[in-house]
Amino acid sequence: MQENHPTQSVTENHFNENLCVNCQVNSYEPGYNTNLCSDCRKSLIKYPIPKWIKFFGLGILAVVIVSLVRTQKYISAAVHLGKAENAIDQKRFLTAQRELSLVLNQFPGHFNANAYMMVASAYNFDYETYQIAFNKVADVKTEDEDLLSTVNAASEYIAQSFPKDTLMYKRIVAAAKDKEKLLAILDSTDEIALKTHIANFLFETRDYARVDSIVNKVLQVDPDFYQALSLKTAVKRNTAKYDEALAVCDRLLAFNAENIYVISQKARIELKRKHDKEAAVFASKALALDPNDDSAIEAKAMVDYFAGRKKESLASLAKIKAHETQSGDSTISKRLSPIILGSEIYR
Amino acid sequence: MFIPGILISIATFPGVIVHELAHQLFCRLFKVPVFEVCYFRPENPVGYVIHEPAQKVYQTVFISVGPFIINSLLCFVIGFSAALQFKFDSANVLDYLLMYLAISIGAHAFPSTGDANSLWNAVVKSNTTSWLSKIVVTPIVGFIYVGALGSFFWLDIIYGSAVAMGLPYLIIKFLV
Repeated sequence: MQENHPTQSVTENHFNENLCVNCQVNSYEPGYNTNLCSDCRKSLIKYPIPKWIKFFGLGILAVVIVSLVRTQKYISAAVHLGKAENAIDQKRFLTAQRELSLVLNQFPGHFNANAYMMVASAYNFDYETYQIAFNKVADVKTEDEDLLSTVNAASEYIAQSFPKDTLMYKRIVAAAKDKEKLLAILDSTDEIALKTHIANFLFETRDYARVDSIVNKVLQVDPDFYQALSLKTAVKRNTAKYDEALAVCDRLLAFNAENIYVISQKARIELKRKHDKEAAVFASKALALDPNDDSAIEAKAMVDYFAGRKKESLASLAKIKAHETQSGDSTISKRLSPIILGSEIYR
Repeated sequence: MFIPGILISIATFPGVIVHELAHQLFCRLFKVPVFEVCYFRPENPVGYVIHEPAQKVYQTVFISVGPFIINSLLCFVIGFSAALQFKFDSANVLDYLLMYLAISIGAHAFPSTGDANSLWNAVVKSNTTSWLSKIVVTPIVGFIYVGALGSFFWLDIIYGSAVAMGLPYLIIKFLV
C-alpha cells in the first residue's frame, strides 16, 4: 500500500508556510507538490532502508542467485524431457530415446523418464535399455493411467519377439539350413514368433511363396506382428511387388517413424526397382538418424554401388565389418558383400 | 474455507515486505520523497509507504504497480528452480521453503486498494492530468480493484502459485 500526502513533522503552532515543511529551517524549493528544502528533499528521496530490511533483501538476493544457478541444470533436463514426450507422441522413438538418455544422465531415478525410456526402447527393440529402465520403475506405483497403458502397450510390443517355447526355438535354430526339417517343425507349433523364425530361415532358401504363406497366417493371428511384417517387406521386394513392399514398410513406420531398419529397407526396395534417386533419399534419411547404424550404412553402400561410387561402397562395407567384430553378428556384411563385390545380381 | 486476510498476510509476510520495498524503490528511482514506510505489521493495512505525489503520471503508475512487477519477477525466479525440482521428484526441504517464499511474494504482487485509491486520486480525479492519462489509468485502477476483490476467492494465492509453479512449465513447453 502507498499513500501520498505532505509530511506533518512540525507542530501546527509554530508552522511557517514559507519554510520547508519538514525542517522549518530552510526555504522550500518551488515547483513540487510538497514544500521541501533541497536538503530535506534529497534525504527523503533516499529515505533510509532499515538494516534488517537490507539483510532481508540480501537474503532474497542470495535465494535468487541460488535459484538461478540451480535452474540451469533443471531447465536443460526439463527441455529434454519435453522433447522426449513430444517425440513419443509423434512416434519418433529414436529421438525420444536420445532425449531421455540426457534426462536420465542427470536424474537416473526419475519415474516418468524411466517409464518413457521403457516405451522408446521397446519400439526401438533395444532390449538392454528397456531392461535397465524396467528395473528402475518395476516396484513404483503410479496413478497415471495413460502412462501406464502406454508402457504396457510398449512392453507387449517388445515381448512379441521372444519365443515362449525355448526348446522348440532351439530345434528351429538347429534345423536352420534344412528346409525339410523346418517344414516338418512348422505344423508342430502354434506360436507365431516361432513360425516367423521358421519363415525367416526359409527366406534364405528363396521359397518366397512358402514364406509369404506362413507370414500371412501369422498376420491373421496378429496383424501387427513386427517380425512377420518385416519379413513380408523382404518377400514383396524379392518378388518385385515393390508398391506392396513399400506399403508394408509404411505400416511398420506407423509404429515407429524412426525405425532405421525399415527406412533402409525402403531404400533397398527403391534400388531394386531402379528408383535410385528415391533410394538415395531414404538412405540419407536413415544415416541422418544414426550414422553408425549398420542397416543405414548398408543402404548407403548399395546406393553408392549402383551410382558407380565403388570406393565409397567398399568403405561402407569395411565400416560394417568393423562394427561386426564388436557385435559378433555378420548378417549384414554377408548380405551386402556379394552384391557390391559383384558375385550376386541384385537387380 | 474462509481465512481472514490478515492471517494470510501474516503467513505470507515476506511478500508484504517485498511489496512495500518495491514501492519505496520505485519512489527512489523517480526521485520522489518518502515520508514514512511500514514494511510489515500484524494489522490492517499490513504495510504502507507514504510519499509525495509524483510529478508525472507514468511515475505515479509505476510507483503504484511497482510491486506487481518486482513481486511477480521474484516469485517467478525463486519458484522456477523449485518447481522444476518438483517435476523431477527431487524436491527437498529447501525447495519447499523456496516455493513458500515464491508464493508468498507472488501473492502480494497485486497492488492494494490503497494503491488503487492513490492512483485514482493522483491521476483520474486530478484536474492537471490529460484525458489520455485518465483513459490509460482507469482500467489499471479497475484491474487493481478486481485483484483486491479476487483476494476473497484466494486469487492472490492462486496468482502466486500460477507464477511460481505454472509459468515454469509453460516456459519449458515453449522452449521444447
